[in-house]
Amino acid sequence: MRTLIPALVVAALGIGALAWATYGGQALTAEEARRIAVAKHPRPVPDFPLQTQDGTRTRFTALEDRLVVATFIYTRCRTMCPLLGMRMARIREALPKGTLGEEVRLLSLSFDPERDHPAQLRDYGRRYGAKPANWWVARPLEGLEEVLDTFGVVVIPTRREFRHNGAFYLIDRRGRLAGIYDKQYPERVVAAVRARL
Amino acid sequence: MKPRAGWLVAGLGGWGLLALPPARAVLEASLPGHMVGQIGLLVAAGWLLGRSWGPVTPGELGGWNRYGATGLVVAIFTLAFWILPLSLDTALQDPAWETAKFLAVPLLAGLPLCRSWSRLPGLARALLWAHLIPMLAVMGWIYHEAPVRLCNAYLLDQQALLAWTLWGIAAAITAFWTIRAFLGQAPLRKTIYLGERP
Repeated sequence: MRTLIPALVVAALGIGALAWATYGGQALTAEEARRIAVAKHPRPVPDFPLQTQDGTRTRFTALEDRLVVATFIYTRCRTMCPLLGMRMARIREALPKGTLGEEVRLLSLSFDPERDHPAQLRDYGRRYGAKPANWWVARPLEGLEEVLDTFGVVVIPTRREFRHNGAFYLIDRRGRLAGIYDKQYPERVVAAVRARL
Repeated sequence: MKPRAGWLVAGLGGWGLLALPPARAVLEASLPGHMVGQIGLLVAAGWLLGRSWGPVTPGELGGWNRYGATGLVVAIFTLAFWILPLSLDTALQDPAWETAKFLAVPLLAGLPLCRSWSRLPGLARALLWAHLIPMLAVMGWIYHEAPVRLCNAYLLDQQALLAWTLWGIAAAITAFWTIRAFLGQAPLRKTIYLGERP
Protein backbone atom coordinates (compact mmCIF):
# COMPACT_ATOMS: atom_id res chain seq x y z
CA MET A 1 0.00 0.00 0.00
CA ARG A 2 2.82 2.35 0.89
CA THR A 3 4.11 2.21 -2.66
CA LEU A 4 0.78 1.85 -4.40
CA ILE A 5 -0.68 5.09 -3.04
CA PRO A 6 2.19 7.41 -4.09
CA ALA A 7 2.44 5.63 -7.45
CA LEU A 8 -1.29 6.18 -8.03
CA VAL A 9 -1.08 9.80 -6.86
CA VAL A 10 1.85 10.43 -9.20
CA ALA A 11 0.01 8.72 -12.07
CA ALA A 12 -3.08 10.88 -11.40
CA LEU A 13 -0.92 14.02 -11.38
CA GLY A 14 0.75 12.88 -14.60
CA ILE A 15 -2.57 12.26 -16.32
CA GLY A 16 -3.78 15.65 -15.04
CA ALA A 17 -0.69 17.41 -16.42
CA LEU A 18 -1.06 15.71 -19.81
CA ALA A 19 -4.78 16.50 -19.92
CA TRP A 20 -4.11 20.14 -19.00
CA ALA A 21 -1.41 20.60 -21.65
CA THR A 22 -3.36 18.84 -24.39
CA TYR A 23 -6.78 20.36 -23.63
CA GLY A 24 -8.13 17.03 -22.49
CA GLY A 25 -6.34 15.07 -25.18
CA GLN A 26 -7.70 17.23 -28.03
CA ALA A 27 -4.37 18.82 -28.96
CA LEU A 28 -1.08 16.99 -29.34
CA THR A 29 0.50 19.69 -31.49
CA ALA A 30 1.04 23.39 -30.85
CA GLU A 31 -1.07 24.15 -33.93
CA GLU A 32 -4.12 22.35 -32.50
CA ALA A 33 -3.53 23.84 -29.06
CA ARG A 34 -3.48 27.44 -30.27
CA ARG A 35 -6.72 26.90 -32.19
CA ILE A 36 -8.47 25.69 -29.05
CA ALA A 37 -6.88 28.42 -26.90
CA VAL A 38 -7.98 31.19 -29.26
CA ALA A 39 -11.54 29.83 -29.51
CA LYS A 40 -11.78 29.79 -25.71
CA HIS A 41 -10.02 33.08 -25.07
CA PRO A 42 -9.98 35.52 -28.01
CA ARG A 43 -6.83 37.60 -27.93
CA PRO A 44 -6.46 41.26 -28.96
CA VAL A 45 -4.53 41.86 -32.15
CA PRO A 46 -2.00 44.67 -31.67
CA ASP A 47 -2.49 47.63 -33.99
CA PHE A 48 0.14 48.04 -36.69
CA PRO A 49 0.63 50.17 -39.80
CA LEU A 50 0.19 48.44 -43.12
CA GLN A 51 0.19 49.15 -46.84
CA THR A 52 -2.39 47.68 -49.16
CA GLN A 53 -2.08 46.55 -52.78
CA ASP A 54 -3.09 49.97 -54.12
CA GLY A 55 -0.31 51.64 -52.12
CA THR A 56 -2.59 53.08 -49.44
CA ARG A 57 -0.96 53.37 -46.04
CA THR A 58 -3.39 52.66 -43.23
CA ARG A 59 -3.60 50.86 -39.90
CA PHE A 60 -5.04 47.56 -38.81
CA THR A 61 -7.56 49.35 -36.57
CA ALA A 62 -9.19 50.74 -39.73
CA LEU A 63 -10.83 47.30 -39.98
CA GLU A 64 -12.48 47.53 -36.57
CA ASP A 65 -16.25 47.07 -36.27
CA ARG A 66 -16.10 44.49 -39.05
CA LEU A 67 -15.41 40.79 -39.09
CA VAL A 68 -12.11 40.09 -40.79
CA VAL A 69 -11.04 36.81 -42.36
CA ALA A 70 -7.25 36.89 -42.54
CA THR A 71 -4.48 34.70 -43.80
CA PHE A 72 -0.69 34.99 -44.03
CA ILE A 73 1.16 34.73 -47.32
CA TYR A 74 4.23 35.76 -49.28
CA THR A 75 3.72 36.47 -52.94
CA ARG A 76 6.64 34.43 -54.38
CA CYS A 77 5.20 31.30 -52.77
CA ARG A 78 4.21 28.63 -55.28
CA THR A 79 2.63 26.08 -53.00
CA MET A 80 0.51 27.00 -50.00
CA CYS A 81 -0.10 30.72 -50.67
CA PRO A 82 -1.82 30.27 -54.08
CA LEU A 83 -3.99 27.66 -52.38
CA LEU A 84 -4.82 30.12 -49.59
CA GLY A 85 -5.66 32.75 -52.24
CA MET A 86 -7.98 30.37 -54.11
CA ARG A 87 -9.72 29.30 -50.93
CA MET A 88 -10.05 32.90 -49.76
CA ALA A 89 -11.81 33.56 -53.07
CA ARG A 90 -14.13 30.63 -52.32
CA ILE A 91 -14.88 32.12 -48.91
CA ARG A 92 -15.71 35.44 -50.61
CA GLU A 93 -18.13 33.72 -52.98
CA ALA A 94 -19.83 31.81 -50.15
CA LEU A 95 -20.47 34.82 -47.91
CA PRO A 96 -24.07 36.04 -47.67
CA LYS A 97 -24.88 38.69 -50.27
CA GLY A 98 -24.25 42.24 -49.24
CA THR A 99 -22.02 41.42 -46.32
CA LEU A 100 -18.66 41.65 -48.09
CA GLY A 101 -17.04 45.02 -47.61
CA GLU A 102 -19.66 46.29 -45.19
CA GLU A 103 -19.68 43.66 -42.50
CA VAL A 104 -16.87 41.37 -43.56
CA ARG A 105 -13.43 42.18 -44.90
CA LEU A 106 -10.77 39.85 -46.20
CA LEU A 107 -7.09 40.31 -45.48
CA SER A 108 -4.09 38.51 -46.98
CA LEU A 109 -1.11 39.73 -45.02
CA SER A 110 2.42 39.26 -46.30
CA PHE A 111 5.12 38.20 -43.84
CA ASP A 112 7.77 39.15 -46.39
CA PRO A 113 7.33 42.96 -46.45
CA GLU A 114 10.87 43.53 -47.70
CA ARG A 115 10.10 41.91 -51.03
CA ASP A 116 6.33 42.25 -51.20
CA HIS A 117 5.78 45.82 -52.36
CA PRO A 118 2.37 47.06 -53.57
CA ALA A 119 3.15 45.87 -57.12
CA GLN A 120 3.70 42.29 -55.96
CA LEU A 121 0.71 42.46 -53.63
CA ARG A 122 -1.46 43.78 -56.47
CA ASP A 123 -0.29 40.99 -58.74
CA TYR A 124 -1.10 38.33 -56.10
CA GLY A 125 -4.52 39.91 -55.46
CA ARG A 126 -5.35 40.13 -59.16
CA ARG A 127 -5.00 36.36 -59.51
CA TYR A 128 -7.91 35.88 -57.13
CA GLY A 129 -9.95 38.96 -57.98
CA ALA A 130 -9.11 40.79 -54.75
CA LYS A 131 -10.47 44.33 -54.72
CA PRO A 132 -9.02 46.79 -52.19
CA ALA A 133 -12.55 47.82 -51.17
CA ASN A 134 -13.20 44.45 -49.54
CA TRP A 135 -10.03 42.34 -49.76
CA TRP A 136 -6.79 43.86 -48.69
CA VAL A 137 -3.61 42.20 -49.84
CA ALA A 138 -1.23 44.06 -47.58
CA ARG A 139 2.19 44.16 -45.98
CA PRO A 140 2.85 45.30 -42.42
CA LEU A 141 5.12 48.32 -42.26
CA GLU A 142 6.07 47.70 -38.64
CA GLY A 143 5.51 45.18 -35.86
CA LEU A 144 5.62 42.03 -38.00
CA GLU A 145 7.11 39.85 -35.25
CA GLU A 146 4.44 40.87 -32.74
CA VAL A 147 1.69 40.19 -35.28
CA LEU A 148 3.10 36.75 -36.12
CA ASP A 149 3.37 35.95 -32.40
CA THR A 150 -0.22 37.00 -31.77
CA PHE A 151 -1.49 34.80 -34.60
CA GLY A 152 0.92 31.97 -33.76
CA VAL A 153 2.38 31.98 -37.25
CA VAL A 154 5.80 30.34 -37.46
CA VAL A 155 7.84 31.24 -40.53
CA ILE A 156 11.02 29.29 -41.28
CA PRO A 157 13.24 30.71 -44.04
CA THR A 158 14.66 28.02 -46.30
CA ARG A 159 17.17 28.54 -49.11
CA ARG A 160 14.93 30.56 -51.41
CA GLU A 161 11.51 30.34 -49.83
CA PHE A 162 9.68 30.18 -46.53
CA ARG A 163 7.93 27.35 -44.74
CA HIS A 164 4.97 28.48 -42.69
CA ASN A 165 1.83 27.17 -41.06
CA GLY A 166 -1.21 28.14 -43.08
CA ALA A 167 -4.69 28.73 -41.72
CA PHE A 168 -7.62 31.12 -41.87
CA TYR A 169 -8.02 33.54 -38.97
CA LEU A 170 -11.24 35.18 -37.88
CA ILE A 171 -10.96 38.55 -36.17
CA ASP A 172 -14.08 39.74 -34.38
CA ARG A 173 -15.58 43.24 -34.42
CA ARG A 174 -13.54 44.19 -31.36
CA GLY A 175 -10.30 43.48 -33.18
CA ARG A 176 -9.65 40.21 -31.35
CA LEU A 177 -8.38 37.00 -32.88
CA ALA A 178 -11.40 34.80 -32.21
CA GLY A 179 -10.94 31.73 -34.39
CA ILE A 180 -8.32 29.76 -36.30
CA TYR A 181 -9.53 27.39 -39.01
CA ASP A 182 -7.85 24.67 -41.00
CA LYS A 183 -6.92 25.81 -44.49
CA GLN A 184 -8.49 22.63 -45.88
CA TYR A 185 -11.96 23.65 -44.77
CA PRO A 186 -12.85 27.18 -45.91
CA GLU A 187 -16.55 26.32 -45.42
CA ARG A 188 -15.92 26.26 -41.66
CA VAL A 189 -14.73 29.86 -41.83
CA VAL A 190 -17.88 30.80 -43.72
CA ALA A 191 -20.01 29.06 -41.09
CA ALA A 192 -18.18 30.91 -38.31
CA VAL A 193 -18.70 34.23 -40.09
CA ARG A 194 -22.41 33.52 -40.66
CA ALA A 195 -22.81 32.69 -36.97
CA ARG A 196 -21.51 36.13 -36.07
CA LEU A 197 -23.46 38.20 -38.58
CA MET B 1 37.51 13.87 -5.45
CA LYS B 2 35.10 11.43 -3.75
CA PRO B 3 33.00 9.36 -6.16
CA ARG B 4 29.76 11.00 -5.01
CA ALA B 5 31.17 14.50 -5.55
CA GLY B 6 32.39 13.34 -8.96
CA TRP B 7 28.89 12.24 -10.00
CA LEU B 8 27.46 15.52 -8.66
CA VAL B 9 29.96 17.62 -10.61
CA ALA B 10 29.36 15.55 -13.74
CA GLY B 11 25.57 15.86 -13.38
CA LEU B 12 25.52 19.57 -12.63
CA GLY B 13 28.22 20.24 -15.23
CA GLY B 14 26.33 18.37 -17.93
CA TRP B 15 23.11 20.08 -16.97
CA GLY B 16 24.81 23.51 -17.07
CA LEU B 17 26.48 22.80 -20.41
CA LEU B 18 23.19 21.75 -21.98
CA ALA B 19 21.60 24.99 -20.79
CA LEU B 20 24.23 27.16 -22.51
CA PRO B 21 22.77 29.02 -25.50
CA PRO B 22 25.19 27.50 -28.07
CA ALA B 23 24.38 23.95 -26.91
CA ARG B 24 20.67 24.71 -26.94
CA ALA B 25 20.93 26.26 -30.39
CA VAL B 26 22.76 23.25 -31.83
CA LEU B 27 20.49 20.61 -30.29
CA GLU B 28 17.24 22.47 -30.86
CA ALA B 29 18.07 23.20 -34.50
CA SER B 30 16.77 19.79 -35.51
CA LEU B 31 13.85 17.68 -34.34
CA PRO B 32 15.97 14.57 -33.58
CA GLY B 33 18.51 16.82 -31.83
CA HIS B 34 15.76 18.29 -29.67
CA MET B 35 13.68 15.22 -28.87
CA VAL B 36 16.36 12.54 -28.76
CA GLY B 37 19.58 14.49 -28.22
CA GLN B 38 18.68 17.21 -25.76
CA ILE B 39 16.02 15.35 -23.81
CA GLY B 40 18.16 12.22 -23.73
CA LEU B 41 21.16 14.17 -22.43
CA LEU B 42 19.01 15.95 -19.83
CA VAL B 43 17.86 12.53 -18.62
CA ALA B 44 21.51 11.47 -18.46
CA ALA B 45 22.41 14.60 -16.44
CA GLY B 46 19.61 13.77 -14.00
CA TRP B 47 20.83 10.17 -13.82
CA LEU B 48 24.33 11.40 -12.88
CA LEU B 49 22.82 13.57 -10.17
CA GLY B 50 21.00 10.50 -8.93
CA ARG B 51 24.29 8.60 -8.74
CA SER B 52 25.72 11.32 -6.49
CA TRP B 53 23.12 10.36 -3.90
CA GLY B 54 25.08 7.17 -3.19
CA PRO B 55 24.18 3.53 -3.59
CA VAL B 56 20.49 2.70 -4.02
CA THR B 57 19.16 1.12 -0.83
CA PRO B 58 15.90 -0.82 -0.44
CA GLY B 59 14.67 1.37 2.40
CA GLU B 60 15.35 4.81 0.90
CA LEU B 61 12.50 7.32 0.81
CA GLY B 62 10.93 5.36 3.65
CA GLY B 63 9.55 2.73 1.32
CA TRP B 64 7.59 5.17 -0.87
CA ASN B 65 9.54 3.97 -3.86
CA ARG B 66 9.46 0.24 -3.21
CA TYR B 67 10.38 -1.76 -6.32
CA GLY B 68 11.07 1.62 -7.93
CA ALA B 69 7.43 1.87 -8.98
CA THR B 70 6.75 5.47 -7.95
CA GLY B 71 9.99 6.76 -9.47
CA LEU B 72 9.32 4.92 -12.71
CA VAL B 73 5.80 6.39 -12.98
CA VAL B 74 7.16 9.92 -12.38
CA ALA B 75 9.80 9.42 -15.08
CA ILE B 76 7.38 7.92 -17.63
CA PHE B 77 4.85 10.75 -17.27
CA THR B 78 7.57 13.40 -17.36
CA LEU B 79 9.02 11.99 -20.57
CA ALA B 80 5.57 11.49 -22.10
CA PHE B 81 4.83 15.16 -21.43
CA TRP B 82 8.08 16.55 -22.81
CA ILE B 83 8.22 14.53 -26.01
CA LEU B 84 4.80 15.73 -27.13
CA PRO B 85 5.12 17.83 -30.32
CA LEU B 86 3.12 20.47 -28.44
CA SER B 87 5.70 20.65 -25.62
CA LEU B 88 8.69 20.72 -27.99
CA ASP B 89 7.17 23.56 -30.03
CA THR B 90 6.05 25.58 -27.02
CA ALA B 91 9.45 25.24 -25.33
CA LEU B 92 11.01 26.92 -28.38
CA GLN B 93 8.59 29.83 -28.22
CA ASP B 94 8.03 30.33 -24.50
CA PRO B 95 11.02 30.74 -22.13
CA ALA B 96 8.87 29.56 -19.19
CA TRP B 97 8.28 26.20 -20.93
CA GLU B 98 11.95 25.95 -21.86
CA THR B 99 12.91 26.52 -18.20
CA ALA B 100 10.32 24.00 -17.05
CA LYS B 101 11.74 21.44 -19.50
CA PHE B 102 15.28 21.99 -18.23
CA LEU B 103 14.12 21.51 -14.64
CA ALA B 104 11.62 18.71 -15.12
CA VAL B 105 13.52 16.32 -17.39
CA PRO B 106 16.65 15.91 -15.20
CA LEU B 107 14.85 16.12 -11.85
CA LEU B 108 11.64 14.24 -12.64
CA ALA B 109 12.89 11.79 -15.28
CA GLY B 110 16.66 11.21 -15.04
CA LEU B 111 17.04 11.34 -11.27
CA PRO B 112 14.04 9.13 -10.38
CA LEU B 113 15.03 6.66 -13.11
CA CYS B 114 18.48 6.36 -11.56
CA ARG B 115 17.06 5.78 -8.07
CA SER B 116 14.39 3.38 -9.32
CA TRP B 117 15.85 1.35 -12.17
CA SER B 118 17.97 -0.99 -10.07
CA ARG B 119 15.08 -1.51 -7.65
CA LEU B 120 12.70 -2.62 -10.38
CA PRO B 121 12.13 -6.36 -10.50
CA GLY B 122 14.06 -7.93 -13.36
CA LEU B 123 10.86 -8.94 -15.08
CA ALA B 124 9.65 -5.34 -15.05
CA ARG B 125 12.93 -4.17 -16.55
CA ALA B 126 12.73 -6.84 -19.22
CA LEU B 127 9.15 -5.78 -20.03
CA LEU B 128 10.19 -2.13 -20.27
CA TRP B 129 13.00 -2.94 -22.69
CA ALA B 130 10.67 -5.16 -24.70
CA HIS B 131 8.01 -2.44 -24.76
CA LEU B 132 10.47 0.30 -25.71
CA ILE B 133 11.39 -1.33 -29.03
CA PRO B 134 7.89 -1.44 -30.62
CA MET B 135 7.07 1.95 -29.06
CA LEU B 136 10.06 3.57 -30.76
CA ALA B 137 9.16 1.84 -34.01
CA VAL B 138 5.54 3.05 -33.86
CA MET B 139 6.59 6.59 -32.92
CA GLY B 140 8.97 6.59 -35.87
CA TRP B 141 6.22 5.36 -38.15
CA ILE B 142 3.83 8.11 -36.94
CA TYR B 143 6.43 10.82 -37.60
CA HIS B 144 7.39 9.29 -40.93
CA GLU B 145 3.83 8.99 -42.24
CA ALA B 146 2.34 12.22 -40.84
CA PRO B 147 1.23 14.24 -43.88
CA VAL B 148 1.45 17.52 -41.95
CA ARG B 149 4.08 19.14 -39.81
CA LEU B 150 3.57 18.04 -36.21
CA CYS B 151 5.87 20.77 -34.93
CA ASN B 152 5.54 24.27 -36.38
CA ALA B 153 9.20 24.90 -35.69
CA TYR B 154 10.46 21.97 -37.78
CA LEU B 155 10.00 21.03 -41.40
CA LEU B 156 8.64 17.73 -42.74
CA ASP B 157 12.11 16.43 -43.58
CA GLN B 158 12.98 16.73 -39.89
CA GLN B 159 10.11 14.39 -39.07
CA ALA B 160 11.52 11.81 -41.48
CA LEU B 161 14.95 12.26 -39.91
CA LEU B 162 13.45 11.75 -36.45
CA ALA B 163 11.68 8.63 -37.66
CA TRP B 164 14.96 7.13 -38.89
CA THR B 165 16.67 8.13 -35.64
CA LEU B 166 13.98 6.38 -33.59
CA TRP B 167 14.13 3.31 -35.84
CA GLY B 168 17.92 3.31 -35.49
CA ILE B 169 17.66 3.35 -31.70
CA ALA B 170 15.06 0.56 -31.79
CA ALA B 171 17.33 -1.49 -34.06
CA ALA B 172 20.36 -0.85 -31.80
CA ILE B 173 18.45 -1.96 -28.69
CA THR B 174 17.17 -5.05 -30.51
CA ALA B 175 20.66 -5.91 -31.71
CA PHE B 176 22.14 -5.38 -28.25
CA TRP B 177 19.67 -7.68 -26.51
CA THR B 178 19.77 -10.27 -29.29
CA ILE B 179 23.55 -10.45 -29.18
CA ARG B 180 23.49 -10.51 -25.40
CA ALA B 181 20.88 -13.27 -25.34
CA PHE B 182 22.91 -15.51 -27.64
CA LEU B 183 26.45 -14.58 -26.74
CA GLY B 184 26.19 -12.96 -23.30
CA GLN B 185 27.50 -14.52 -20.12
CA ALA B 186 24.65 -13.72 -17.74
CA PRO B 187 22.03 -16.47 -17.43
CA LEU B 188 18.49 -15.12 -17.28
CA ARG B 189 17.78 -16.40 -13.79
CA LYS B 190 20.49 -14.12 -12.47
CA THR B 191 18.88 -10.98 -13.80
CA ILE B 192 15.19 -11.72 -13.55
CA TYR B 193 13.76 -11.90 -10.09
CA LEU B 194 10.57 -10.56 -8.64
CA GLY B 195 11.56 -9.44 -5.17
CA GLU B 196 13.46 -6.48 -3.75
CA ARG B 197 17.07 -6.35 -4.85
CA PRO B 198 19.20 -7.95 -2.11
